[in-house]
Amino acid sequence: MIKMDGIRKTYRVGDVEVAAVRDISLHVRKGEFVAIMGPSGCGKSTLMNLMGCLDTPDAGSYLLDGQEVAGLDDDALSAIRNRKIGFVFQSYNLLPRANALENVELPLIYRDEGGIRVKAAAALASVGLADRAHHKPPELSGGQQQRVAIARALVTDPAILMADEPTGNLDTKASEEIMALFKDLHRQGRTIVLVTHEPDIARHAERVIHLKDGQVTWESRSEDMTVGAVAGGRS
Amino acid sequence: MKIVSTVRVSLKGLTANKLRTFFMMLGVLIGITALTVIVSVGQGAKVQVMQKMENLSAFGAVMVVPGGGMTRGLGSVDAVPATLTAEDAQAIQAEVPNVQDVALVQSKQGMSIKFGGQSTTTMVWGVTPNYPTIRPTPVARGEFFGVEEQSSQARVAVLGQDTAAALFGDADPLEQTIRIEHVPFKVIGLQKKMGASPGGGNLDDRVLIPQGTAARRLFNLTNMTQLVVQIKGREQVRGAAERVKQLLHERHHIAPGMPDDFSVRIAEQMLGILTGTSQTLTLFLSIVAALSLLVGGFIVMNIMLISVSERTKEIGLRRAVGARRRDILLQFVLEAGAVTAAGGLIGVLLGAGGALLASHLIGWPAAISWPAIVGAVLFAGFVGLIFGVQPARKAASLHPVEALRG
Repeated sequence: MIKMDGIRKTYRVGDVEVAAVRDISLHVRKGEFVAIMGPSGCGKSTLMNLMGCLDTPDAGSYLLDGQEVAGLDDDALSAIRNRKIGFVFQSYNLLPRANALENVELPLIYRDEGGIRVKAAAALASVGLADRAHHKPPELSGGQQQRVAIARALVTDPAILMADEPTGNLDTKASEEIMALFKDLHRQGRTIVLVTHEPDIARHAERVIHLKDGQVTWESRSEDMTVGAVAGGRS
Repeated sequence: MKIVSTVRVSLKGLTANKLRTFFMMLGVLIGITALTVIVSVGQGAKVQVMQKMENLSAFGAVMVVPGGGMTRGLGSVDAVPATLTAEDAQAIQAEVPNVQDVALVQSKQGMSIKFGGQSTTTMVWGVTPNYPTIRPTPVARGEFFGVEEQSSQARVAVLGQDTAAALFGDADPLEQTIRIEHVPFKVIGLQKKMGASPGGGNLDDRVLIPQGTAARRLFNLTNMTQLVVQIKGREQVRGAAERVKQLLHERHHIAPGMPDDFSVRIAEQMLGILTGTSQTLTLFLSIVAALSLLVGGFIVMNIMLISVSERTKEIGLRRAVGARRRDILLQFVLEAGAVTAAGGLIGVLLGAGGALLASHLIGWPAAISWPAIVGAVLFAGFVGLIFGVQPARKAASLHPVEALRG
């Protein structure tokens, strides 16, 4: 599903060039649930932006769903984000004045197709919020808001679901609920890439890719992960 | 992305912050309101003048007055250049094609009129009996004088309503004898109420007497203050006016390049002179109103810029879920355009209402012109589009990653 080869991204801060991602090569198979982990500043957000086609790499090759996207222009990347990628953010990023249903509709209005309302209602029902369709985000709990955001990511039936610290703003109980939802989606065959710095969250994934200083340091299956976390403590 | 969805997205953005949207609208709204009032009242004034000229059948006639200047209204027979004569009128009648009739006018201002102990001062018009057929001069009571009175230089008079009221009050003026500069005249007619002339003179404050009588018994002068040339068919008026000019050049021996000692006017020109001042004023006020629209445009631009920086995260999110740059651009441009078009629409309605109210309350004429209204709304929307482009470009140029960061 995702095949990155020698991907590099450098930022310029003042006169200093900072390599946020250095020659990363990785593979995510269809239907896999992968977590990307590492301390803050390790480049995991940059990697996520590159994977999500929000940003373009300076060098390297990126095959997404069999298509090379490294050299595409802005319009083409917008179309790919719309069709192949569903984003879930830490701060939900819902439109505060639009209700849940309208928030879920948002990606569909950037397509030329009908049945928007029906699809949005179905997506909302799939995350268990059919009865909250006409509530606005401020009227919903954090966990509910994140579920609306997940419905918004799912409404386009994307190839990959990308979640950036999806539980970062949630309490333990709500976090567990959200992670249970991700696991459900995974069981249904979704490909999921999750970015987090919390081992407790990362252990829900099948495979964890560890990042440090813009490079992949090691990979682990989730079973090893628990051991590693115990051994090294929370970094 | 469908244009319908774009418009829907834009409207959502607008209803989300109603107070801000209102302020964005305000500048344009005020500008368009002012513009509508000004244009309506200006247009109304023009329509009113045209209506008056129409009532006086002015469009079918050519006026000749002495002197080369473009004076308004009628002069006094002893104060104007003595260049225009009855013979000129005869020559015009005989030699210019399509001339139906020519009426002579000899007028003098400041004539003292007395009846019993009452006196007033007004303008006396000596006119030929054909005058009412060219310039409708309806008589309410009694009758207008005829050819008989003209040739016999009869001392008879037709009074305007205001003049009659000044001399007689509520009493019946018919068959009474008034004195014009001590010369006795019998009142044989009372004019209907006519109101103001297109030039602003009061047509109800005057005394009409036969031109022959005026020349021989009152003014003792033979020059005219106006010739009114009735033309057969309106489309002939322009050509006839040229022929009259040529004829008078010959008759008055005016060499090419020399200044005329007369001037020939047609109603269309008069319309220009009469509405000239108000048109200048209308233009000036319109420029002021247009400037306020410009200011309104800058307000729109400023508020849109603020709105864009406040909604950075929203823009980032839209980009993340697949909005292209041009979708964002279109959204914000349409937002600005919709606000100003709505402001324009409300402004037009307020302005039209204001103009009608003004015409109702203080008697200003007002004419609502639908093309102007549609134009105003479109123009207001256009202002929004133009001033919305810069903020919209700013929004569209945001990098998705940075925009998402907020």
